[in-house]
Amino acid sequence: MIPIKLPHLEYVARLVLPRLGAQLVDVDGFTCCPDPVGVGATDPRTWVTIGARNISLAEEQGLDMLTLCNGCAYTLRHTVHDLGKSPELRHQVNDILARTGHTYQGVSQVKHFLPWLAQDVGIEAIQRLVQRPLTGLRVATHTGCHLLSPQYLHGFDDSEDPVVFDQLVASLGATAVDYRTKTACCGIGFAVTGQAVSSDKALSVKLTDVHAAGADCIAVGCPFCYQQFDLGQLTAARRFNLDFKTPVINYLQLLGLALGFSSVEMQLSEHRVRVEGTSFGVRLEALGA
Amino acid sequence: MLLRESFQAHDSQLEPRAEVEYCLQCAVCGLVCVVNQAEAYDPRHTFVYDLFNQGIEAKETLWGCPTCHKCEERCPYNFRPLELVKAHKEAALAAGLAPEAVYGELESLLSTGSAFPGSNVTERRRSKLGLPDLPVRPVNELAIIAEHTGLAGKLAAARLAQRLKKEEGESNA
Repeated sequence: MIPIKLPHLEYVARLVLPRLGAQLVDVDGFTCCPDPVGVGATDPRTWVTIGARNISLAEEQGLDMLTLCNGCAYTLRHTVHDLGKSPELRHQVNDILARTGHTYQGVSQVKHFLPWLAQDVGIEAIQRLVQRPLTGLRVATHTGCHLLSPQYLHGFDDSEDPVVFDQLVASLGATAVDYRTKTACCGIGFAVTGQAVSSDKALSVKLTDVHAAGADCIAVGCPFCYQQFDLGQLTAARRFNLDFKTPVINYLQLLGLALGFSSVEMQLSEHRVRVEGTSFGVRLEALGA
Repeated sequence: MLLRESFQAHDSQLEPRAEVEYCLQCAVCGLVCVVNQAEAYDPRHTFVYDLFNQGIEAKETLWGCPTCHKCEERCPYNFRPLELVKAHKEAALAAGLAPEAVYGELESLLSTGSAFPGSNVTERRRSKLGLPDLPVRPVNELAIIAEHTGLAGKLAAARLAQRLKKEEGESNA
């Protein structure tokens, strides 16, 4: 999704992640993870085999994997989990992979960038790198379904009462705002299968709640959630007559702003829900971003 | 047992899942389910319960399930409703009854290596940002995988089933 639909987020990731110690290596043979909903639920065997193929490519170069998407993290970690739990499944998958010249070994670590930041880099290390504390910025975090649940898969946070994303936001000097529907799905699952009204309805419930809680923006770690809160907000606002606009921001963009990058460098002009004219835009201007 | 006996007699989706007996219609899954909230369900008739009572000619709502796992994590009886959702989706795909977007995604994955086909808009945006060109994905390897997992055959059978149904509809008109 990101390289094709949201390349500005790839740009931001390439700029920001090395500042936190990640050494990024491009692996040309990667394909879609593939998608846990469209592929994972309709053909689990193909899903886990293509997932294992992707991981095997990283293993061939002695690399671990960092993902920028909740869905990719869910798919790849599910693959590691299932193949680790069932030698029979692993054998069946490797039987097929052998025909493509690859073997899944189970030695690479796969993590979403939010757990990597929280667990491997650490909150204190992030705080030490902050050049522009985002003081006064009120952020509603949306961790997203595939990173929250099932809890055992990522070991990231409590799926009923998540706090880690809030801590990551607070480490930048911003204020994490709590809201009732924090763990609710963004609703993009409806949008991708053509159920526009349901998509807008699920989204508008969250947007209204976030707005009532006084947030300047919604922070996400997944391009699908990003797309729903950005492009999706335009259609939901029209259908349900929402009289406010709450821009979305990927945590890497927020992190970049706190590290000292400008709004231009963090590609905020690419957002469909414009930042200018909102309380978010006003706050960023006051911070000199 | 809350399901109708006629379903218990011949529902192939439920027979392998004897644990469905555990469902006491407590509706906790309905409280956390996004399909339940976005569609016209209520605590007495939740999305999960609706699935128990239908076959693979599923309503559109089946495809709104985002595999979020909330129903499983909250179910007090350790029943795994998500497995039933997946079984329905798997059977529907093979029978040609999934939404066009799902077939489109699978066909795009196998022909380009990506669920989202690129375009010259993508190329322009990436070039403007100074990002490397997108590599050509080794789709031959995906074709081998799809052949041996059976996905290629399932997609072909599903498209055939759709074509036959359409021709039948046209000849009846």
